[in-house]
Amino acid sequence: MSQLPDTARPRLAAKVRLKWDEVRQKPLLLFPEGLLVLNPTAQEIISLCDGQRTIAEIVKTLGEKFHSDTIDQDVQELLAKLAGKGFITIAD
Amino acid sequence: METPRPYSLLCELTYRCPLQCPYCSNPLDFARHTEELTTTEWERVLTEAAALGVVQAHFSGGEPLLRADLPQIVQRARELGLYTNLSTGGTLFDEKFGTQLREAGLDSLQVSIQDADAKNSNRLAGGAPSFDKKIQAAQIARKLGFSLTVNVVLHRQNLDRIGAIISMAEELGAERLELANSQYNGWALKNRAALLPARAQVERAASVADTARRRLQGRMEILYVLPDYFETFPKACLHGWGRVFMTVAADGAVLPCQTACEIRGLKFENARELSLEKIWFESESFQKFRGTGWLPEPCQSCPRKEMDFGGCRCQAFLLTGDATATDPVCSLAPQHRLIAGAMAQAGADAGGNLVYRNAGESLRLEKEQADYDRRGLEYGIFD
Repeated sequence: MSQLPDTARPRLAAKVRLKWDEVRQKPLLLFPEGLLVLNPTAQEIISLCDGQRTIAEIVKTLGEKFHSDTIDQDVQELLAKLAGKGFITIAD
Repeated sequence: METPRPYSLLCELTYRCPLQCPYCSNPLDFARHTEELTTTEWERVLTEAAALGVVQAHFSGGEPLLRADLPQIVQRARELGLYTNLSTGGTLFDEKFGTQLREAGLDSLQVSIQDADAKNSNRLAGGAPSFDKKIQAAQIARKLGFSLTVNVVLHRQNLDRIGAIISMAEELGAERLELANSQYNGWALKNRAALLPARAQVERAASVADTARRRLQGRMEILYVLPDYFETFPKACLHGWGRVFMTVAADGAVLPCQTACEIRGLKFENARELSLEKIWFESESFQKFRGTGWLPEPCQSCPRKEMDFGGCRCQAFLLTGDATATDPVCSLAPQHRLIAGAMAQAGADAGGNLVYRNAGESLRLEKEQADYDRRGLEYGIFD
């Protein structure tokens, strides 16, 4: 799958909703006819996909927060997967 | 193991419908269930469901747009934080209703179309011509900004037009196309000789769908569900009985799956009398096939048992007369020959003599069933 440009500004598609599940105490991604139970990193990444921040900014924010060197790869992998499913849209 | 909580609730708001599709998933005896939950009762069902752990509410029917209170019910679901999805036949969807639903916060809209060929779509849906209205509904939905899923049930009589069906969904601007082969329970089982496709058709269609999926990736998601008759192993029906899904039928009956009432002898509780929580955790119907402890051989010692849970209970019952049997579509099932028999029969009745899903046929079939019962004959379609 091709690498998304660092300058792209991902936004959650209208049909997709990020939700905190009170009953199970877990973050969920909801979409037509399905859902994903998210891990904390995925939740953080997705919550920053607001159509304003660029991928580079998302990586920077999370790198500082988690003191992680591999966050770049985590962000790229997750966003590519979500884009493939039409769950995020990309504005340049 | 702790009993899981349901994620998804299917609300079959009404069994009334202007269409008569011969593969409808409503029960054969739907015409006997004329009671419908009130607005207040649906609101209470949704409140109980959210507390139980449900995060998605799917509204279907029958035709859910026949309920004028649909926007109010959707709005309540949204207030409870549920993701809301509506499945409609589209014939009653207009700009006014659409706007109300949009304002109520409906997340996703699914319009069913029977075929890309107008004449055949009309014939398959039965009743008054519906194709043009369905196309209009999809167009209005897009105009109002809805995320649109087009749903086409596949079978022998439309499968060869899968390419045209994909183009149609593309032109309509659908974000998602659901191509689900008919599941041969209930009405579809009555019409199986006319609807079950040939293997060559299924394989060609799968290949067309696969090519289109790659071409359209990121633009339109294509979901192609193989017919289980052509698979080696059964479907993990519902991802396991009483594990993820629950259905509340038009009259308030609470079902592990929308076709579960085809399993005769299994008693279902009603949301008017008991809470969803009590029904989910304590009722006999939800516990009966939950987990893997109840599984017969060869499932019990099968390494796939946590993957498919022995397959579809309704199908096992309808084909073998025993709801605890291994789903006969499994190549390892003792009664797998029933599937070979059906495949040999496939196409025998193609084109003609469809049994349409309407009140007259429902009452006739119910009487036929009662006659069988009175005569003490075993239920089964091969007798």
